[in-house]
Amino acid sequence: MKNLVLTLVTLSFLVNPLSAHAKRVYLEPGDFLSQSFPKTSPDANRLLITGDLKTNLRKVLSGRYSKIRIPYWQSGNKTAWILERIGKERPITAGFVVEGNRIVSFKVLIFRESRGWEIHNEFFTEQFDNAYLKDKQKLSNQVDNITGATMSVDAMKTLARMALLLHAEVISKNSTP
Amino acid sequence: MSNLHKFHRYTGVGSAILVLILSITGLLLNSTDLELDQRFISNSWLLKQYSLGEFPVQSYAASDTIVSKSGRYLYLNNEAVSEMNESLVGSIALQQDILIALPNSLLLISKEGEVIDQLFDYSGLPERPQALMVDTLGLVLLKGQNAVWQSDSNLSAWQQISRKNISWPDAIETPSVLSKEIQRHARTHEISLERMLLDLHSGRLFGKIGETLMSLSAVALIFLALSGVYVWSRRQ
Repeated sequence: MKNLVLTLVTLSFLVNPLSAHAKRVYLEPGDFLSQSFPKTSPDANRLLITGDLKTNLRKVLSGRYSKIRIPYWQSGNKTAWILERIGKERPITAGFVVEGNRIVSFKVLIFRESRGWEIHNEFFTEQFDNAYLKDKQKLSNQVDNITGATMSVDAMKTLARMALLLHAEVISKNSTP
Repeated sequence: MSNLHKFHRYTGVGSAILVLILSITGLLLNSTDLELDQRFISNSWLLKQYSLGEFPVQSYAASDTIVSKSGRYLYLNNEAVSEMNESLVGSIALQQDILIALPNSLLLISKEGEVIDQLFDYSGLPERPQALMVDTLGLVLLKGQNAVWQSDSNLSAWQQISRKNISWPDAIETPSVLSKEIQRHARTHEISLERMLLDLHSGRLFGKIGETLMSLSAVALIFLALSGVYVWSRRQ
């Protein structure tokens, strides 16, 4: 009995319900861009969120984006986006490369939340490969949840939809005479 | 009545209050709908437990607007417009907007406080800002570690210039009424209700003693469960 109580007391001290908000940089945004455009290094362009794009973006985000002008990098029909969204409390920075209206690369660049960092792993990010927007701006790919990281997972799904929507806008603007 | 039965009773009565705190705070923390991270505590006794100390206010003038930073907020005059962890390096008023220099970026914000854009080294910022000003022609001048840069108000292209003897604006002393107002806001918007409940749940709100008491109450709960089942099985 005495031993059991001692073990339980020790275990209770080992349980730590708090963990600090540490900023984890998995890939510097500059490095993400160099990897995305190894042969060319395009300058940043900026897309202004107005009109129909603003309306559609509001639907995807269920609210407004934190900035009015969004930087992007373009080479031919390929665009790269560095976007931010709060999972639970702090913004997660993610990079997307879109080509032919499909996601060709997705990386979690900076993670600032206390939980849910597992989303930077390849087993999660590769679920977005070749994803495109279906009707009503839904994501074509099934993305599995990670227990304990639901809000971070949802944030990344939303950003993927956002990147695809912004890419379509840029390409349609380019093709308009 | 056996000794174990008696011990079970005393443990139950002795740990009742702590177990109630543990359970109620646990229930509240599990309710994401309550948005506890968006609510803040303003009670001075509770805030005192966190030993927050002073909330210095750092300010720069941007024409008729005073841009300040205190705690984890950015203020335009007395209005908190955005959460921000970095310190200020400078600020200027453009024709319609305000440009704020931070150690690693430039933040473009409307006079109503809406964030328009943020320039980082990978998205068009030529160098880490050290000071910011607008010249008589309305061009933006940025002092970097190695050079001085010039841009128009669109901030789309930066040119290195060789102008010397520029008197870069310093931080200003925040007017005392504004300073007090900002400090009050920053202090009462620092600790979220979620954090307070989490600290109460773990006992950390009351330091090492609180932590130990909460750990003991958890042990008491485990003991109650095990001894309860044991006593019940003996009666059967």
